[in-house]
Amino acid sequence: MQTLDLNTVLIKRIKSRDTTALDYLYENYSEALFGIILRTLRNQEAAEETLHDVFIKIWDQIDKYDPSKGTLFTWMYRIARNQAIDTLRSKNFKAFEKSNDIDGYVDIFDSSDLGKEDYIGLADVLSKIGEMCKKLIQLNFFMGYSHAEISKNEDMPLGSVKTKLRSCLKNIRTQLSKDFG
Amino acid sequence: MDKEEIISQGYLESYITGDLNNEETREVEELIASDKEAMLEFYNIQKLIELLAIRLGISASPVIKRTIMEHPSVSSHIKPIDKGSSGGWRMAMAASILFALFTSVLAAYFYSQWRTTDNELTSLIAQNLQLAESFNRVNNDLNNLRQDVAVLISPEYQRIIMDGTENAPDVKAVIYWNSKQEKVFLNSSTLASLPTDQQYQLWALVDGQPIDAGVFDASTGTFQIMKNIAKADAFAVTVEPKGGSESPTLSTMQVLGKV
Repeated sequence: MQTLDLNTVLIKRIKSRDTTALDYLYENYSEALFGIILRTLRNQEAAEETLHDVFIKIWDQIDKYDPSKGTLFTWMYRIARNQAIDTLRSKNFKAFEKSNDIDGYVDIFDSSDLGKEDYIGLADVLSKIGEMCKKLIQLNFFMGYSHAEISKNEDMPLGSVKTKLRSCLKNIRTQLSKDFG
Repeated sequence: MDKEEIISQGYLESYITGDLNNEETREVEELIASDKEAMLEFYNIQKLIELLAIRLGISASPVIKRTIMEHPSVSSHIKPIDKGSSGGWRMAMAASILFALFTSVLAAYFYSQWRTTDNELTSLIAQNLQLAESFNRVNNDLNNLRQDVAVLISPEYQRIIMDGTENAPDVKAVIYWNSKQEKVFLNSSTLASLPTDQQYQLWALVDGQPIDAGVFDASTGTFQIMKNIAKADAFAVTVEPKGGSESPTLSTMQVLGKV
């Protein structure tokens, strides 16, 4: 797994306080993390502040990263998600107020203004997995909603949210591997 | 929870978002640390979330990167770019020239070493070939001698001395004959050399009838293997045109020996 090897080097460099490695990390992952933070907070200024905090946290706490518990991205993803949720719950943020129901949900997978080159035909695959799947994946993984929140708002048993999410992700994987032979 | 439940009930996915209690987290971590299949499944889910996240990425203001790099925790580690003094530059230049010279000398030295070694190798290979040839020759000779000795000492072989006729009174030839195996060996070392259009031919005489036992040239030293003969009262050698004749030219008979 080349990604793992590349990340091993990257982590080593960050641990040895090599700021160019942090630069690389920012260039390659800040957009992915910012997408999650912004969709969770739905406020540009608060999201940018949070992104800043997330990268400082990654830099300061790299020694806490344990490769046996997941990839570097998963670790950074959790930091971004948790930081965004913390910001959301903080007193300072109450002024901005995010509506706690899921009415604010828009189908981000369908946005044509993503402006990213879709080399692997992900958009095509995502269009095949059904509205429910798209909504669950987006709410849970990219908008900071917990299973419990989704269960309550979608009027769906908690266990079903989990298994449904799994089958949705599995469906995407199957579709992708089919397309790649 | 068992492995099946952790995987099928979506706990690996929940572990990514951190949507698990402490007990569940511990169980998932234990499974992915100990089970290759679960670990691979978890890895694949992670890569998919990463793929989706990158696909759904949004650019933040470029100011953010600057504020991160200027944060004291980071900026204190940014290495100043050392432009260096011109003296330092000259030293570096001198050092690299010295290094280049040194490596050139090394290269020349190793090249000459290599040439010498290459020549030595070539002559060693030639010597080796010569040795191999001599060895083969000696080995062949030895094998022939072994065969000769085996024939000489074997009780199965009958020794028949063929005395010279008046055509060649001083000549003798010897036949070693194993009638069971029908093998015939001939030692004809005293027979004279013949013109190239002639050859000697050995005959076995059975009830007065000559049977061809093969043609041969005058040869020194070793035994010659002749045609198989099952029955014979006597052996004789005549001189025939090259390739042999169907019946012996009796007037040219050189040697004759009775069994």
